[in-house]
Amino acid sequence: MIKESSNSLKVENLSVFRSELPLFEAISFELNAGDAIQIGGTNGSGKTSFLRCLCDLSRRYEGNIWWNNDDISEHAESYYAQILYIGHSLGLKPKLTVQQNLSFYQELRFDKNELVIEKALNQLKIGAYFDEMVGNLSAGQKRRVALARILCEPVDLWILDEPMVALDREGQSWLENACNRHLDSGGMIVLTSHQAIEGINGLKMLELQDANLDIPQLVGEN
Amino acid sequence: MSQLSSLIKREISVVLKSQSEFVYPLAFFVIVTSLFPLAVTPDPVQLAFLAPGIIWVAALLSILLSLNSFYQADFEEGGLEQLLLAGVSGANIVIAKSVANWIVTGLPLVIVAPLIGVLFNMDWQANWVAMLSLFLGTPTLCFIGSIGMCLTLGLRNGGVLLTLLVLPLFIPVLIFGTSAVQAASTALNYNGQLAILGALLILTIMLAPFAGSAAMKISID
Repeated sequence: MIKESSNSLKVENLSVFRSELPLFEAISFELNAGDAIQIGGTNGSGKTSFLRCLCDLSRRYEGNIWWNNDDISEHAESYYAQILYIGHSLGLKPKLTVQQNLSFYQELRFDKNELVIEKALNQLKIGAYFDEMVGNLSAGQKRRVALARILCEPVDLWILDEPMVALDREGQSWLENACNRHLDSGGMIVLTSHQAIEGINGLKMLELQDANLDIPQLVGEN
Repeated sequence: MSQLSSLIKREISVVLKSQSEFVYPLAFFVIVTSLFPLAVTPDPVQLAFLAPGIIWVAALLSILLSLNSFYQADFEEGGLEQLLLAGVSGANIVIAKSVANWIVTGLPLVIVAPLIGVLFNMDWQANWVAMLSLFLGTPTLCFIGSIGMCLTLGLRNGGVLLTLLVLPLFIPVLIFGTSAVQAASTALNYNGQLAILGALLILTIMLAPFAGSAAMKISID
C-alpha cells in the first residue's frame, strides 16, 4: 500500500563546520517518498553533526536543506511536524515511567493514545516494563523505549543516529522490518551507522569523506 | 496553553520524583536563616532589624541553588532538543521551567517565610510584607535565573559563571525586596517598593522567555 505522499528532502552542497574547518566534503542528495539513505563514515567524520544540521538544531553549515522545496530553518514549524530524531541522547527522563515518557512526547504532537504505546512496547518485547521507571532499564531496553516512538508518533521523516547501537540481533531485525514498513507506506529515513545494514530495502549509501586530508597534520611534527 | 500546562506538569513531576532536589533549597533557606540568631545575637530588637536582609539573601541564594535541577539534566539527556524538535518554542520551554521552578521552590519559601519572621521577632505587618515581597520577587529571580541557565548549559563549571552572570541582575530585586520589609517594620509606606517589584516581575516575564530561548538555541548548537 503506497500512501499518497509527495514529500521530498533535498540536501544541496552541504558542508558542516567545526571550529572553522569543514568536517567533510560537501554532499548533495535527494530523498523522495519511500527512500532511505545511510550516512557512513569513520568516527569523528561528522555523521552526528550532519544529522543535527538536518534537524536544524545546529546552524554550523553551509549549503541548503530543503523540505518540500522550503528552506527548513525558515519553515521550521511545518518541518518539525513531520520529523522524528532519535540521537545518542535519547531524551528520556530516568525518573519517569516508560509510559509517561512516551505519552508525553506523543501528546506534544498527536492525540494521546495509550493503546498505541502499549502495542509498540509489546512489539519491542518490553511490554512488561510499561510502568517501570526508565532509569531502571538497561541501555538496550532504553534504546528500545526511544525507538518505540517511531510507532507512537506517525511522522514522515525518521532521522536516526546509530539506531543499531545497544540493540541485540532480534531488536536489529525488528528495526529493519519497521523501517521497511515505513518506507512502503511512503516514509523517508536518514540514518547513520558505520556498519553495513542489509535488511532495509533500497537503502542508499553515502560515505562522508574527510575534507581535511590535504591539510598537513600538526601532530607529530617537530 | 494546554501545551504549556502539560510542560509545567511534567517539569514538576520530574523534580518531585527526586526529593533531594526540591527539598534542598527549602532546607537551605530554613537552616541558614535559623542559624543567624545563634551566630549573631539573640537580642530580639537587633534580630528584627537584621531579619529583612537575612530572609531575602537566603531566599535569593536558595533560588540560585534550585536552578540547576531544571535545566542541566534535561540538556544532558537530550530532552531539551527533543522538545524543540517536537515544535515546542524555546520561549514556552523557558516559561514552563521558570513557572515550575517557582511553584516547587519559590512558593514554599513564601509560605515558610512568616515562620522565620516569627523566629526573628518581626511584627505581623513586616511579616505580611515579607511574604508579599517574596511573592512578587521570587518569580522574577526564577525567570532571570533561567536566562543564566540557558547561557551556561553544557559548560564545565557552569555554576560559577551562572552566579557571576545572574547575581548582578538579582540585585535590584534584593534591594527593593528588603527595603519594602524594612519600611514595613518601621511603619513606613511600603507600596512603592512593592510596585517596583511588580514592575520588575512583569518586565522579566515579558523579556526572559525570548532571551532564554535565544540563549538555549546557542547552547544546543
